[in-house]
Amino acid sequence: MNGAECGPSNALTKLQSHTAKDNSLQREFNRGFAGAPGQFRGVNVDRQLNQDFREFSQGGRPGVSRANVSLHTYADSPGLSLGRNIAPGGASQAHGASEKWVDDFAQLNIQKRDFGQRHAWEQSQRGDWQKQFMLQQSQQSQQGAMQNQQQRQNQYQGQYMGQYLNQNQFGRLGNDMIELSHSGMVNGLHDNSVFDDQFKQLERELQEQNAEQQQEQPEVVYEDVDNQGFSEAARDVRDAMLSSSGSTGVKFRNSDFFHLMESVAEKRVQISQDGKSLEQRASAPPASSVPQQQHPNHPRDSLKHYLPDPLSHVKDGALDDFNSPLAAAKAVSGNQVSTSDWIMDDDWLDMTAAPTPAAANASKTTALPERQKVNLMPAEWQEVYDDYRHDDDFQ
Amino acid sequence: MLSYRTTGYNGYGVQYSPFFDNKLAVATAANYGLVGNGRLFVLSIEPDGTIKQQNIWDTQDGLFDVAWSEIHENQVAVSSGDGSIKIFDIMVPQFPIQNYKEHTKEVFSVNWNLVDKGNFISSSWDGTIKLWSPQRQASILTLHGNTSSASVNPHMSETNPPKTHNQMGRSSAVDTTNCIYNATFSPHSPSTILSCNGSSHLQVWDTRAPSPLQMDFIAHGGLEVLSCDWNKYQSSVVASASSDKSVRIWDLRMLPTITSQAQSPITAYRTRTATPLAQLVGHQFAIRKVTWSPHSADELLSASYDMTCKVWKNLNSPNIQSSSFSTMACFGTMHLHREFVIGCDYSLWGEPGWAASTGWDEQVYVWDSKRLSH
Repeated sequence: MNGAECGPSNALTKLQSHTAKDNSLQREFNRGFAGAPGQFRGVNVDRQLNQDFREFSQGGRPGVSRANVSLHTYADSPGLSLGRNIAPGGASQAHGASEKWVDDFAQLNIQKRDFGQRHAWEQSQRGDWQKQFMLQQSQQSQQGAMQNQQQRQNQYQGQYMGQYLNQNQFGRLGNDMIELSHSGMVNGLHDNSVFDDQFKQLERELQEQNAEQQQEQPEVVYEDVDNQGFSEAARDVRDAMLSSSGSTGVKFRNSDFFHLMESVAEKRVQISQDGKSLEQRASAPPASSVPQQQHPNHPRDSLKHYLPDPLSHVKDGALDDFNSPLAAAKAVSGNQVSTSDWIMDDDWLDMTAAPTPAAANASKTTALPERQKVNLMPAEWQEVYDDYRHDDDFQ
Repeated sequence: MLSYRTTGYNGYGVQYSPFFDNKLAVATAANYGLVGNGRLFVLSIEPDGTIKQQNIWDTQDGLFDVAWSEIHENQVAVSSGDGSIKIFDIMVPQFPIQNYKEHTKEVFSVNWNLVDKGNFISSSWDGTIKLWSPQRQASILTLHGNTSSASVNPHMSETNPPKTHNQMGRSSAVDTTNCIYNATFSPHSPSTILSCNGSSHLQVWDTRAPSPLQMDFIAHGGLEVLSCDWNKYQSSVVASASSDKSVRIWDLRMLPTITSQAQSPITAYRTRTATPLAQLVGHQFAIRKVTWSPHSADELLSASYDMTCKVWKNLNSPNIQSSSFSTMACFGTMHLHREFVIGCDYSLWGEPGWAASTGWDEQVYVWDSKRLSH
């Protein structure tokens, strides 16, 4: 305990006691005016009123749906609250609170509400115009204010200032971004076109290189290297299979694999250039001795690309309409076979024979011209020949 | 006798399902496996005696071997000519459920572990054996069959015997010295592998050992060993088939291990020229496949380039005795194939003696070995 407390009252002790006095209840009262956002400022406010206000703020009332978004935004923002039915807080009410009252009342006008971004822009614009007014007052020049405005706008507008003078900052900023991105796209398109040109040039160069390589390494070299070894191996296999005797030797010689090895050894069949199939050489004789297997990679499949299709002019499914050999011959020949040329009897082979009774009867049913039935041999020889042809017992 | 034609595709491998008595998987290749695609057939033997195709899958390259999963009844692994190994599931059409590509050359065999059941092996022309798990994307272990580069012991450089005249003649064209034609798990041990290669070596591996190669000997005098298999009843007895037209039966207990060879002063390739228990002669061409019977200790089946399959049995005594192997002889010959016979297998769940074979004649035959003529 010090001497000042024990002594008489003086100015110092009064000041100390004044500062040490517990006025927390008063502060609490004052804090209550600030309140939580979305509530009335006051300590004895009906809770039902708070609830009603919250519902109002959240758009529960018809007719304000258009502004629901901004209402919701404002209701959640600090300082927005309704001040009616609140008794003034007296002298201890903070000055800042009175300003919020003004703002709140101004914002309660729903018709003037807009999106939060526009509100913020308006607020900033008001402040800016105020500054500009102050600047006008100080400079006494309208031209100076305009210059200042232009300088401020230059921060956002840059080279597009004059184009966007009447637009808000966010609009300008958004448009600037669009414009910039558009210009970037233009530049990107320009770059892409350059890249495309470069890629096309590279592709051309690669194709030229491949063509040069193919010219430098002709197919003959490839054939000589790979198929030569294949042919030699096939020859060894063929010889080994031929060396066997007895029943196994017979089976070997009837083997499809043996015939294939024989064809490869004689270079009638070779490995295709892609190495995925066997194919006949272009100069090879007809593949009568080559085993004909029905699988996709068989050499016979590769011949399809070289032989013309005799029925290419016949539509799909039209072959069923050909009920007679004559109709089929007409279709296959492309109407080169006429009905007058068609012979139903195989005696047409016998160009030397005189019309025998049978042939004469047959000729009635055919359209073979009589001018082809010329007898070139004497009658007795013709009789011998006919006896030979028509004698089934002749050995 | 049942048959099925794999039209357009030449058979390479056939195996009965270890889960179903009527399912077969057949690995085939177009153009005799020289060039072209491959196709895997899963066939079903119907009660009316016909064989029907249940599933097929086409592959980019020829398929050389097939192995059913021992742990999943619908899955089957195949080895391909492009160096890949694929696993197909019967319930997943068209595409494989796994595709492994580590081998750099043709994969000639694939074999599932009969004891562990969770892994399988493959052997390739690139001279390696790889251990795989269906659960993993990459191989678990790689064994290098070229013993000279494995540097297991200092004597390895002398393991290669002098090449025969035939080998030297072919060496300029196709070098199959390092080609591992077949590798198969022991049915008695989860980590023991038997393999054979183009330089006539028969090798035994233990995947648990720091130096996996446990045994290495020359089985067929320098000629290629095309197939090998473990006896299903005697853990030390194996068989090997070679291009010397013979099948040889070996008791591994009679052969020196790598460790004992390293300590021996005798030249390595001489000590490893071992003596077989029996030599089965009768095929007229190289023997491509040999497999022991799952029902009899002294019966095996061989498939050969002479277009036949032969069943070899101990005709004197049915007892399971080691000494009985020396009296094994050809029991019968199956002559139906019209081209090389490449694959054969015994039925596990069917009647003892039932077998299947496939070959380059595009045929799969299911037949009873007990009814073969001598």
